[in-house]
Amino acid sequence: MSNIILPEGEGKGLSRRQFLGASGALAGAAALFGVAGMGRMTGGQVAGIRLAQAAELKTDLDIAQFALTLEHLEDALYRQVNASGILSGKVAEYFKTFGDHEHTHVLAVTDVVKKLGGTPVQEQAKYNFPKLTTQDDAVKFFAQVEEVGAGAYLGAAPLIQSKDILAAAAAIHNVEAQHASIFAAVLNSPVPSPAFGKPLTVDQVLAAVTPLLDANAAPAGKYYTVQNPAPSIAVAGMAVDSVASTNELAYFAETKHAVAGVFLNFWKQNGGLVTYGYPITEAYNGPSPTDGKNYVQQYFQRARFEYHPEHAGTRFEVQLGLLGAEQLLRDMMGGR
Amino acid sequence: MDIQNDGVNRRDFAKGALALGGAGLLSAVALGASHSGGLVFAQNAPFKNDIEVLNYALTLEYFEATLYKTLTDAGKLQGKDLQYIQLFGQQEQAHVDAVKATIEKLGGTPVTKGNYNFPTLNTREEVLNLLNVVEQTGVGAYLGAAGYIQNKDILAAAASIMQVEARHTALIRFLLGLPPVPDAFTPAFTPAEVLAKVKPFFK
Repeated sequence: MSNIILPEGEGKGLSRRQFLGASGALAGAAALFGVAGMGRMTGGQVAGIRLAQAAELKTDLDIAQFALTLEHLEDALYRQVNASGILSGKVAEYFKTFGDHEHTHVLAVTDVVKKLGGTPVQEQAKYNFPKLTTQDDAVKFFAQVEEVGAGAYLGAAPLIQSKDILAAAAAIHNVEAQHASIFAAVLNSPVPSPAFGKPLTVDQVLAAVTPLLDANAAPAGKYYTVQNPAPSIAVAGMAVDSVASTNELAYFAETKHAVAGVFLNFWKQNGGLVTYGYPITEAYNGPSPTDGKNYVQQYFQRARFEYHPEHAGTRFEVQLGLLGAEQLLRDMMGGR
Repeated sequence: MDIQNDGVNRRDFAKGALALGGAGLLSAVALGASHSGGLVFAQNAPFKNDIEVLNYALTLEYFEATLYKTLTDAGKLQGKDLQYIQLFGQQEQAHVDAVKATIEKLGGTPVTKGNYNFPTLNTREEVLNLLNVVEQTGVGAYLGAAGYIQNKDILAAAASIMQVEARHTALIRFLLGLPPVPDAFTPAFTPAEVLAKVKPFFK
């Protein structure tokens, strides 16, 4: 899984640490889909994903079916938005063209599955798509979906054994990334892209797309704490439904996240909102961008908290990362 | 001769180099008489090993990085055009740095920057059109070379670079007001095809 790698130095472009592929989680695009919370899921529970277990892509057939699931999702999404009437002008043209591409990808990957002797995953009869009511919403949403697509292919590429399938996957992957970049450009996002693409693991992809594939996969918002952290940043990034605030837990409707326990104490004692801003993830367990080791962490608009139980009772129990909300958002949005 | 790339991990690639395990590493592969970023690679396709593929990539990245710098300095771009092109140039330089460091860590000798013939361009359209063609060539080069890469971490890194080149092409076409993503699949080029496209720009 990829670390969240943040740019070293403003304006110098992104660093080579982007290549870091060791365990970690990119804040899933799921966080920005606005889906409230998410429980644990396994690949097997999700309709249309023909994997025995989540995070296991062993053969080219596994990879092709996984890709086909995503392509069907995109194909269906594009058909829906292209029929919705919310798009116009040049943007509508982009959506129409990109939708045609995704349909072509479905056909191509279906072919690959058949050649590998598999029974191709079918498009689902029903998906759990968000209701997009404005063109801007559609562009933002599809930018995220395409980023997940690009990241999924990039993550899977080294696992592909057949050179022909690799060539096809790489070519498709390039186009997903192009779609994502154009949507970002349409939104006039400040920085088009980082110097290196970010691979996503199957877990990260599933975290992002499962709510779209399965209406039952989105439970009522569950908040996470230092004692009970989310299993990945992708999950931690998902908004949680409101909970009653207490001395031990504060819920912020502004960003739909809660801060509790040790982190809440630190937050309050060191200036709270003014210093750190609102929480933009739940507490989660994952590798630190600083040293790659696992810590419980939580992102705020202007900081990242990192829990160091080895310093419990001292002022080093909670340490600050060097990262701010802009950099997190940059990573969530593929570097923009 | 094949490189033993056991123990390569992406974290070290992230530092611009690859961790190399054990003996049996290939020392510098003679790429031909010259180690400049000239078009030596074309003589060696298909590639015998990952260092050759990486030097092919480095040749093109040096070319792109230098082209971007030249065109940015020429002062024919403004506003968003300039902002994008400056950023893309920085990214190409990051690619140069990363690929060069990887070759070194593998015990290879990286090609040096080549000498180029760049045309004098007078309008933003000319500048962007040239960059579009060059970037598309770069994407096609990576795509055409991917199948030769043996080490999976190198493949992952090359693909992550290729992705950004693909984004560049789309965004440059966007700036030009062209259909930004014309194809469902980006085209691949063989080294010979790449050679034909870039040769006019190499001294």
